[in-house]
Amino acid sequence: MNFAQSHHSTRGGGGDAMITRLRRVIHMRRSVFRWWVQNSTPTRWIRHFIYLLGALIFAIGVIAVGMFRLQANEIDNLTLSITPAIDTNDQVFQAMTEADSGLLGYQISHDLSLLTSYQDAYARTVTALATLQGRLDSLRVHDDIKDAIDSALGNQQYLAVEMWWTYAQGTEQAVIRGENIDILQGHALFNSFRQANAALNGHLTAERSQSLRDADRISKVRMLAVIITTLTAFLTTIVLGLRYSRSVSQPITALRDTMSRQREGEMDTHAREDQGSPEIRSLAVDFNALAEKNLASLRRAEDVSARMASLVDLSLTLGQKLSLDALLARVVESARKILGARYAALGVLDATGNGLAEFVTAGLSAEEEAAIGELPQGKGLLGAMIRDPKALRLDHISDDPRSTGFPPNHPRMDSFLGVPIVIHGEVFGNLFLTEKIGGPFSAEDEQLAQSFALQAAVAVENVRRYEQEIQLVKMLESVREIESAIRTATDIQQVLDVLCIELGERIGVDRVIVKTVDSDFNPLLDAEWHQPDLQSVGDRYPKLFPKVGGLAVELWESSQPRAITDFLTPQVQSEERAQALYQKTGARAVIFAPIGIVDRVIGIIYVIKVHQPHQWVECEVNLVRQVAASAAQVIVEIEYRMHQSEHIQRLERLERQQTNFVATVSHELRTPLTSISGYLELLSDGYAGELSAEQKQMVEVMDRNTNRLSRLIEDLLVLNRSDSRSVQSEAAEVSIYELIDEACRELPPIAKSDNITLDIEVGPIKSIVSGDRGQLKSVIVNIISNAIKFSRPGGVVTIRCSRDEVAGRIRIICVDRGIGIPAEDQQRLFTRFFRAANATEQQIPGTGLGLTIAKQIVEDHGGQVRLTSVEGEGTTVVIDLPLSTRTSL
Amino acid sequence: MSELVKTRILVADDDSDILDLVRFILTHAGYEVVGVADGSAALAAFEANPPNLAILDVMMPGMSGIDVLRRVRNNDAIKDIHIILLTVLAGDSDVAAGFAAGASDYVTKPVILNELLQIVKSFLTGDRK
Repeated sequence: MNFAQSHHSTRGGGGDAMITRLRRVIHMRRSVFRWWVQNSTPTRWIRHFIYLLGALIFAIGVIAVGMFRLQANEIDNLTLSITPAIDTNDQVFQAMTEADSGLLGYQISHDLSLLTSYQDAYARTVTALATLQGRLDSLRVHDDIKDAIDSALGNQQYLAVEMWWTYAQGTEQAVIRGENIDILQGHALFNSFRQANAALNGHLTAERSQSLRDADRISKVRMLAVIITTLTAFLTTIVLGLRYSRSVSQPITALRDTMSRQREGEMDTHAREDQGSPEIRSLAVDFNALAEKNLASLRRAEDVSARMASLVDLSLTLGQKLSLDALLARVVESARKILGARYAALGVLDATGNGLAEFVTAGLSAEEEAAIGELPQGKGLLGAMIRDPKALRLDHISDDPRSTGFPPNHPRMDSFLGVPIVIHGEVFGNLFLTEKIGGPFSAEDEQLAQSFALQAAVAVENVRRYEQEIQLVKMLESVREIESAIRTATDIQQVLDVLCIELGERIGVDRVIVKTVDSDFNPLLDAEWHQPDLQSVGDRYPKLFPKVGGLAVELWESSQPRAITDFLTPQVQSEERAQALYQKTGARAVIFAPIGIVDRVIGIIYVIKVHQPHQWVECEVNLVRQVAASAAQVIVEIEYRMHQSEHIQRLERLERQQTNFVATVSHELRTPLTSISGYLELLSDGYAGELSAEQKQMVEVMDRNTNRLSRLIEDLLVLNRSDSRSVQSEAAEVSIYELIDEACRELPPIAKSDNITLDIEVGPIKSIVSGDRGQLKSVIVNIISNAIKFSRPGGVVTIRCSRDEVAGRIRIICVDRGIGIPAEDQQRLFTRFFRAANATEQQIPGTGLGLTIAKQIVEDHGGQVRLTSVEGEGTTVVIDLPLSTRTSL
Repeated sequence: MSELVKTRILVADDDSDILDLVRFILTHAGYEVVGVADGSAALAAFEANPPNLAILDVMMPGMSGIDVLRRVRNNDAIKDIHIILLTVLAGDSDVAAGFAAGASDYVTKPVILNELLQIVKSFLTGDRK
């Protein structure tokens, strides 16, 4: 269709159409250029340049080949045509010259042989002429004119040869016929030939020169053309390279750099969009767009991961052993960051649940905080959230009718998000966020905040538990420390004082009062501790706690301390004594703990907080209870110790008194006894005149009983001494051998009077015991004199001594054959003042102290006394004493 | 032993019965006895008219027998006089204290008079020193 139209218009256009077409072609060419310039993409560019380069290389080839062909033609001409033609022409000339010479010789000499060479030469001339003719015909030098000249000159020479030849034949004949020969004519003809030959030769030589020149020229032109085209190609290549480099390679390198920088994380790097070809520019634009997109998603990912990180951070926070305050601060700050709010706050409800105990904020500068001033207390939206713990999300705070607005200078807070923090169904507090950066809070934010609040709740719960654990540990430590503190007290008042101070300073309260009661529940002792800013209630005690006993009993019977959070509630205040306590001590929150042990009520501890109500935690109550229990124990112990030491003191006093008494009495007895025995001696010795037999007998009875009394006193003193002091105080090395020897010499004269034999055999043994020489001697004396005393007249008392090295002891055995001791009395022999029945019956003198004393002394020396006896047969006493460890020879 | 210059013995005891008893037996044995009832009087008697021998009770009001003994032993003029302590204190430590103070002998009450007399005689005849 298009073609037809075009054809139609062409046909219809006539001459004008031609011009139009031409213009169109020109126009087309311009627009093609413009299009090329405008739309050539690097690929096209490179393609075009490569085409151009190819064309140029092709042109170089064509030119080279063409020129070479031309040159070859010239050379062909030279070698195949012109030079052979010249040579042939020379041959013609030579052959003609020979022919002429032969002819001339013949003519002159008429020698026929000369004709042969003439004829040969002629034949050669003809051949050469023919060859020349052919060569001239094939000669294609430059143009037809020159070729024509060649032919003409060839023909001219041919004619001259023919003419000469005709003459030569005529001459030949003439010679034969003997006619005259016109030699001159021959010369002339030959000359014309020579001229023609020279002309041809000249012409051909000229042509050869021309041809050589041409070939040289063609060679130069070819060289030039090749150089030019090569140069052009070279330049084109350079231009192509440069352009390629500038519009493709450089931008691509830059782009690659950008990409690798991007890959390395430099997300802000952009490709240059004003560099390189449109293709590369658009690539850069695309790349930048992609990078932007990547960056955006990266930012989003970063944002998400930041939120995640914050959440993880928060979770980690849960794991850490933070204090509750530190945790709340972390929660608030994390919430602010994660939710992208300018401000965040966390309000912790107080014990009543109606107000805020704490308000932790984040994002507020010092100035802003100063501008806000006091913490909110249940007004406006925060109050509303306290009363109605539900999530609340507002684009503008002022939208909510419950909002009460802000005080002047308050930082701008417009968007609002509040979620309650609920722990075990109980509202712990609220998380508030205001001023979402970059727009109001979204539903997504609300969800996030709620899950955040959930996590915060878990965290708070964990920390609370942890703090409770810590508190428990601290409580136990405190209890221990308080207990060890009160254990240092030496009396009960001190226990109470220390208890008050320790408890007050450790538990962080305002006042601690301790009261004790007596067995009738009347106030007994008291102690008090209070913070320095408070006044002592000291002198008001009696009036203040008139019924302390009643309360103590009440508490002890309930076996529980009573903890009161708020003393000012009407319920508590309805009690008279509660009112009194509040008025006197300012108590707002109190722990009453009874001090008691088993069924005994000792007193009561008041732990008081003054200014604010206080929700006592289990730990605090337990601490007070534990301390009360410790105090009770310590008080009872002190009482016991006091009683005990009192008892011991009394005993000691008694003991001292007794010892002194015995000593005094003994001494006091001895003085009159001295007089009695002295005067009796005087009487019996006859200083007052001879006594009658009857008088003498009476004096003897008196004397005997005086002696008995004297011995009794003696024994009492010994016993008293060994009771009242440590025997070993006068330890010395005592030889048993010497001891027995001395004892026997000190025995009362009774042995001799009754004719009793002492069979003493201690051998050469020099056994040494460590002890009090005097006491040990009195033991030996006592035992031996007993044996003598209970022996019948004429009896034998045997004393033996042996050493047991293995057991490290010495054994002294004293055997008599006396009256013995009744079996039933043997058990009680070592008790004070006990005397065996047969001894008293037979009026054998004795105090009943001897054996007791002996036993005590031996035992004090680490030994033992055993007695075996058969009534009527005799008694054996065995004394074991440890050998001295220092010397045992 | 001259009849004119009797050997004089000082006896000090706060119990007059015992003082009489000792005085009786010594006088009967032929000695001149000076009896005093307390330590101060005994010391005064020592210094005023030194006896040949003295028998002192220990527990006396005021100055004790031990005190007197020490004073005498510290007085060069009379320090060599034989002094026998006669006392109810019979404990080992009492005896030791008596000898430590310089007693020539230590006799506990109640005493067998004959034994006491023998002791006195042994000192005065120079059998004991």
